[in-house]
Amino acid sequence: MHEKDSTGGIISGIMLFAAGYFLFSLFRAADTFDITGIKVFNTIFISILMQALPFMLVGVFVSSAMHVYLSDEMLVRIFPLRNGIGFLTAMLGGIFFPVCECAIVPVAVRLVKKGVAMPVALVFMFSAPIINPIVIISTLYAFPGHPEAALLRVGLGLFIALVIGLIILLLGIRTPLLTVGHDAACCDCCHEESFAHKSAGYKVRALFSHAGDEFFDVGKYIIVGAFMTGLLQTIIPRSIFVDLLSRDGLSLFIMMITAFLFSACSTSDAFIARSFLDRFSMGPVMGFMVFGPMMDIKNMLMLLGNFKKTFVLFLSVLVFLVNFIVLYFFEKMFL
Amino acid sequence: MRAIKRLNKAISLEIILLAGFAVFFIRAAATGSVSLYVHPRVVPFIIFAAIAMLIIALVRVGDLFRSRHDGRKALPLIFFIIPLVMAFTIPPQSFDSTTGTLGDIRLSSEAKEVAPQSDKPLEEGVPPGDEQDVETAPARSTLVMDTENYAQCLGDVSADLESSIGMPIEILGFVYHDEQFKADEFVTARLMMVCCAADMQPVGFLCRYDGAETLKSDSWITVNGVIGKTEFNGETIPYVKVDHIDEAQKPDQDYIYPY
Repeated sequence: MHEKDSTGGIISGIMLFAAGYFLFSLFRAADTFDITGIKVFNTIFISILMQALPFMLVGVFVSSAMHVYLSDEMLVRIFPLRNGIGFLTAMLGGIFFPVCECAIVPVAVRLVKKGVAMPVALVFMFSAPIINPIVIISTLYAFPGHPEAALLRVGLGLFIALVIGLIILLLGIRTPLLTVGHDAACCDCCHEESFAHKSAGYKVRALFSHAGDEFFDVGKYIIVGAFMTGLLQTIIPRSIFVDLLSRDGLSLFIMMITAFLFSACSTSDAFIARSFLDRFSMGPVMGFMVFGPMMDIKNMLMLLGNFKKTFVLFLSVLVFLVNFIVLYFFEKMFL
Repeated sequence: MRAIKRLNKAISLEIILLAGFAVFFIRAAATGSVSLYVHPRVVPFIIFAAIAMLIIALVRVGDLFRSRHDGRKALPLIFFIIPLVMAFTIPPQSFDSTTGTLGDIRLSSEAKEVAPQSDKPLEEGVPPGDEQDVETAPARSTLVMDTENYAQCLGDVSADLESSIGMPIEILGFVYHDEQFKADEFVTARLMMVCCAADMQPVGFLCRYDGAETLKSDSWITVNGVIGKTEFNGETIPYVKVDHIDEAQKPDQDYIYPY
């Protein structure tokens, strides 16, 4: 078995090297042709990453610091177990616990397990990635001169999160947790170890080590998102988007689906959203920035590891519908 | 022994990737090529990211020799290898009017994308108290638009078009032709980067000049003329009645960066 492991390791190592070398030589050779298109694509792709990675790193450090220095018990104690005031705490809690969407599902699941009411935990899960200060700052940076973009994002996000929470409360859904003890929400990186009795030096090391793990865990989504955005911009003619815009509600639908598929981290997705602004109006772009942090492929997968399948499906559809309806009518009336 | 070997593969690749991105970021900031990718205001963040990645890489060097068992896989790292290889091998493209990803030409500074905004206050550019008409005030000072104040001038003139009419103006930019222009029309344009290369947009004043067709797209020129106002697609916009045109050197800074 060990033999097998190391052979597999060597083979995949060689394959990685070959793939990397192939790419390298491809790009080198391409230099002699006229490859303006590829160069433009490359410039856009790298430029989105250059903006997104720093904000993602800040988010990763904050999340790691919370992981290392803040125990779950402390977090749960903040939340009242009852609904009323719990909603308010849940909506605004994200300011003081700046978890981005990539790390929010495990936190929300922990809250539910520790006895926080389901609707409250869900409101926290949906609003924290949007009211997160790093997310607000990166949105301000992505829309320079237009602070109302960040304001709208936060306002709409909180409102939609509350509406979803109230619907769950009214429907009286009980905690549909999977009975299996296995904690699937935790990626292999966030092992449930307690740091309470470790030395300060160990904690700092753990902080950077955990930040690195999360960087590689989450970074691939932003890279795929930036790659797809660059590709879309380079190969799809702008005129097609103009046609789309003329169809009511379709552009909002498309941007929300895009956000779902890209699964970009909320600390840095504003830069991706921004690049769509010359093709879509503000309403659909808001759809990307508000719906994206609440529900996307990677969060859905994490939810599936902890909740019953039917509930996750119901929740995803509910989140999508509430987002679509609120944003659609908001755009009609105000934008 | 074997456990250490297994760890080495993924972690050493991670260290290379982190260091690679850090080196690329620092190199781009040091050589100035960063300005072809992103707005200069992002540069401090890029340097922060480079330092952070170097520290993470350093901490990981310690992990190399730990025989801690973990499920780290090397294959997902391909996502990071691709952009790093691209970043190092393909030089950034300097965009011009033929680049297909550009936004539509903007002929006045009114922000059309985001919710309607109040007019920006009029700052420099127009001498205060000078509200006389074109013909009666021929001695007005010339507004010189170059890389530094291009966006500013664009905003000032659009915000207070009435009092700018008749002002002599000198603009450095490149020739931009568009299908929707008439035969004698072109724009002395610059490419504006609001955030990054993904949202580049040509901006500039519409110019009227009899030999407009003979001007070669993307050639750099200095235009001298007088500001007037005109209608374009139902909008009132400023335009420049061109007096004469000189060839010019391409400026060091490719783009203009507003805000």
